[in-house]
Amino acid sequence: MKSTTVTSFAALVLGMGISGIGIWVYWQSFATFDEPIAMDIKQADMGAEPYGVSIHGTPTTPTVYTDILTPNGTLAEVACVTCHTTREGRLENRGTEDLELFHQGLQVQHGGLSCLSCHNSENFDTLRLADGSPIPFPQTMQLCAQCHGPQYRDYQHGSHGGMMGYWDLNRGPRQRNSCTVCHDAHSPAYPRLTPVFPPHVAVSGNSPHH
Amino acid sequence: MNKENQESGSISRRTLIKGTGAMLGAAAFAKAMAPLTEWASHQSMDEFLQQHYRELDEEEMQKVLRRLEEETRRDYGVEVTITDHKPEKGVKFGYALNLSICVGCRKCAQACHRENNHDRASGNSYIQVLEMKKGSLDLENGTVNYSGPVPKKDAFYMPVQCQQCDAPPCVDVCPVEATWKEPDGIVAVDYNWCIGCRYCEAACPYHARRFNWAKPQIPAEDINPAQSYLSNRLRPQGVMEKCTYCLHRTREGRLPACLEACPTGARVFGNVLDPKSEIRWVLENKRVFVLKEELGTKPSFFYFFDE
Repeated sequence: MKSTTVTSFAALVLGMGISGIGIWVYWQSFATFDEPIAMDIKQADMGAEPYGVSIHGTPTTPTVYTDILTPNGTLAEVACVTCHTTREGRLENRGTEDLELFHQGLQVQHGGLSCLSCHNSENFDTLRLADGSPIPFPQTMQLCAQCHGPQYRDYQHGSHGGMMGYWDLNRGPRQRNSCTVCHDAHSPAYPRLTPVFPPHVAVSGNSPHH
Repeated sequence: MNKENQESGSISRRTLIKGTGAMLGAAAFAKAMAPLTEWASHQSMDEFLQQHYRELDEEEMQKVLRRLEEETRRDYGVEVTITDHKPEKGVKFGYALNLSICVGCRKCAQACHRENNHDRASGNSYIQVLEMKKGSLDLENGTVNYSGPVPKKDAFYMPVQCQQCDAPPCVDVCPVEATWKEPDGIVAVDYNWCIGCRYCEAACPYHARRFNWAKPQIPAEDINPAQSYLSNRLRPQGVMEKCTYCLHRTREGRLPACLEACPTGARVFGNVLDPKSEIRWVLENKRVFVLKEELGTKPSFFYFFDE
């Protein structure tokens, strides 16, 4: 009699334990869906420091100028979708030679990408990720990060892309650049430069022409 | 005859030699002391009697700073603020440079020149950018005399500045302790204590130290007025100077001028004691190396390549 009570009590505790774990696993499965996708750069979501990191030069939704004059004398500016809702996107376009109208003269040297690798033919006021989901222009960095993972990782940790401001976010803010400040999205290789500030004296004494 | 001469008071040979000797001695002494009289005309007694930086108390330091500001106003016609920025507890500076990203544009060297009030005519900077052949890390094969456009296909670019060594040979050789290691890692110089012997310049394996052959000449409007005693204040003639990781900026929490000038973001700066800092991420995740490791100087400046 007594042993039966003990056994049933133990079984009850065990049952509660197992169902507890079950509920926990069940909740965890939802938790993974609820978590926001952390695309902000490291310091921004730390939240510990009073100052943050701002990103300068984030792209905005582009527009083009038409040759139509507005009543106040400026050229009319229209959104991409103004034409593109009535025209089909050309999936086969790869080179600039196929481009017409506003796109003429555009230089594209970006791997083997076609226009619609990044531009969203469903809505040309947005871009598209590799999985087809649309993404607004201000979040272009997320688009770049799909292929340029190591660069994006380094950017997040402050070792790719210029910055200004404070190393110590307890004392002041920091400004970073968006990818497209340095890299033209259509022709992203960093341009070659003429070096500034030539040395007056060869301090190290190892110049070849001396 | 002799006796008569002596009695009449005429000069003996011995006296003549003595007299000539004394005159020569006096002339030599005057000649030897001449630089001292010239020097005294532009150096005040306060400056001459100034104690070593680390022996100045707060009140004395303030007097020194006001005097230096006054001298800058007099000599350069510009109002500047000279502060004595102190190292902070829990901060040790580290710097890393990504050689895969550096394009050799020399904007860092130019920013240093402007930020640190270098003499304009000599084009001085604490940073030298070496153009190196790909495949070799031998600094002796690098050259600072290169022209554009950069980066060249077969080259990489290596900016070199003070490595703020933890075992600094420049500090070891200073005969007057005018240069020393600060708690935050900066190797500092007291320009008013330095005697200009240049031993430190010879001892530095990174060619990071510079000598002020002349008093720096800078137009008043180009002078950076935000100055610090141990860093970018206008240096006197005949003393050594070096990169201080812009301590007048970095000890206020700001980034160094060379880093802000870098267009590609090749430079990473921060507090190595902060595990969340970007410099720590680089040290933990990139294959960093130091220059001339075999010399045992223990630099606080690191280089790395992207994989």
